[in-house]
Amino acid sequence: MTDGTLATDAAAAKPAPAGHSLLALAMRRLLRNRAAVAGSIVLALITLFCVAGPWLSPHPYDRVYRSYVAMPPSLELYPKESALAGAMGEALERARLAMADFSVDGDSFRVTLRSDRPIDPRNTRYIERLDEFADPRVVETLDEGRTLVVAGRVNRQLFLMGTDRSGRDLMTRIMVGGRISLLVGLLATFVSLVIGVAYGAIAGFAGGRVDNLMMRFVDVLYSLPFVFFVILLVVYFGRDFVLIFVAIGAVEWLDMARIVRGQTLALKRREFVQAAEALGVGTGGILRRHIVPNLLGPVVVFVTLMVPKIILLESFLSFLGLGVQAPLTSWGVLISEGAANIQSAPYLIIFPSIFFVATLFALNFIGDGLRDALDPRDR
Amino acid sequence: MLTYTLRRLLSAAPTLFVIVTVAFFLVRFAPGGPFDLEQPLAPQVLDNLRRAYSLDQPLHVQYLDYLGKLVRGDFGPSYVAIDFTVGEMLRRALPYSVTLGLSALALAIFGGVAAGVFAALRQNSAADYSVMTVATVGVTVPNFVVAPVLQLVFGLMLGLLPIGGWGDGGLAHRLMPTVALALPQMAVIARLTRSSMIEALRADHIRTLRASGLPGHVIIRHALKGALLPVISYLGPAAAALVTGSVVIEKIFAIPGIGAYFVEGALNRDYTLVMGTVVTLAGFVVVFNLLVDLAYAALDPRVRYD
Repeated sequence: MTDGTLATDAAAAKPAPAGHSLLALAMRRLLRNRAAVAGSIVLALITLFCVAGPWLSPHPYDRVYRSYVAMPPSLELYPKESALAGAMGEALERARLAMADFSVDGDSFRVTLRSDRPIDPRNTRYIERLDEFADPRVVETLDEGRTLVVAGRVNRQLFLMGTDRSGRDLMTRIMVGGRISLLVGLLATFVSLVIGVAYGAIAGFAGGRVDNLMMRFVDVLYSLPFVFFVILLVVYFGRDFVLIFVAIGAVEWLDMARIVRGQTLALKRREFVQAAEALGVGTGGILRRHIVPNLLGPVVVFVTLMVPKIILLESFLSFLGLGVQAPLTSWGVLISEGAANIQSAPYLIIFPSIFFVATLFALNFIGDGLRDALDPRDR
Repeated sequence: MLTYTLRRLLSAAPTLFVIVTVAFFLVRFAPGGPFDLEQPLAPQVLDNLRRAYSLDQPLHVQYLDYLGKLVRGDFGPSYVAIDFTVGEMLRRALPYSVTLGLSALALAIFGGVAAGVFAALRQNSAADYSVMTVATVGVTVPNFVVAPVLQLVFGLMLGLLPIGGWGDGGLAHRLMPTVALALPQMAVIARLTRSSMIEALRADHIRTLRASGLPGHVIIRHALKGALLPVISYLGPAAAALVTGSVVIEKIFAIPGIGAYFVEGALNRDYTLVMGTVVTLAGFVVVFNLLVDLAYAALDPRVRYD
């Protein structure tokens, strides 16, 4: 008997064990899928890298460092010690001045300039203009101005992934390109999501002749090589950022429409829809309240598999030179530039490709994981 | 079967019509024209040019005119490559693209099916996992990444194969572009084949064959017959993807095929050349889809012919 009271007490103390909702079960299945979890982590890291990176990076993505064109990736700071004297010599040659003495001490330099005539102190601009040196100032004037001693700072910079053929920091460009690629992927997916869900739900719910006609139209569109129309659009109406994702999204809604239609056809015959009909809810209301929310599962799965497809399509366009315009960039543009310089600077294709491929992998793994989690029958 | 074939043939016609119409008006409504040169032409010259190419006619007259000529197989003159008709240009480029496309398709089908069957027969073994990992890589990595890497490794570092060009059309020149073009589709087909083969091997009639003690290769043949159906229905999209991919591959390997003409024509606003390439490529995809549908109907008795 005491056992019985204890049990009741325990049950009263703890809330009744909640029944596991479908979502919680799906979540648990997803978390058990190691590939999907790893994919999510990688995707989150890359997104963070691309979104926050450009603010933290010391280099603007479009800043051209003329002294560091096509520098290979390195953990060491640029400029290299051995290159300093040469760089200074070049600058002074341009200023038509002789270099008498040049020394570097830690992060500061000291140079003695000599000429036959008095030297204009504004000649320090020639030194300042180089990427290697900063804040040059005259510390001593000798020989009635014919000799100047100039001191300043050595501008030390890090190019972890090297610089491109125009002397721009590759890592910052990968971050900015990633922003564009991910953004195009998300926005175009959203466009195709809206069109596809609306079209498919209406076709499936209307049924009969309307459904037949709408789906025949999709069939006709399916057999068109649509990428060509996207290319034509982009070529003729300019490489506008908005146009690119609208065009891609408008092309990629067909699969979504088919999936949503099939699901809607099945949902339509369920009791809760019939109940809503019996209660006098209008077609629009049933679609909004009952059909679309129940489509969420397959749609979510499809969206995660759609984003990599669209990123791929965007980089395909960029590769053909039809993507976003310079100085803005995307992963496709970077890979295309890398492919052009593959012999002289292979790192230019390796680094963007790593980020690009890792993102695609992550998204594919997440999509597969979600599919297994939300629909355990279909594997 | 005959009526089904005829009906499918008839339904392909409106598709082609839609393609021609959309492409025609898309090209015409775009800003800029083929005669917008850096140095503007004299108005008199421009007028004469426009008259010579019937660009001064109302749009619907031009459209009907183009349709009429197209039906007779006349693609019209190229606006930019003077003295050439689009028909001539396409005829010259077509052999390269067709050779490349068909060999890539063959490689994708045979390679993909073989890999898929191999993996399915050893389900959940190390061999299965490694084949499927390679297939996942193939699906994920686009061919414009694969192609330069192939060029770097086999062309530059090992010096085994020519980096680009068509040469005499020999195997050495064709090998890298074909592999790069086929790889993504081969990977998709391998995944498809594996999953449908696994399902087919579990089917009742296969179990009966096993129980009857038939040798392995007979069982595989019977299972494959059913397992290949999803692969066949995928061939339509695969062909479309190969046509699209060939644009990039032809560019990377400097092959003078149709894909190269398409990009060139679009950038130069060579109306007739763009139309010609789009119609040709779309025509290929449509005809191929038709063939796939017919093959599917012939192979799967469950498909009704009405």
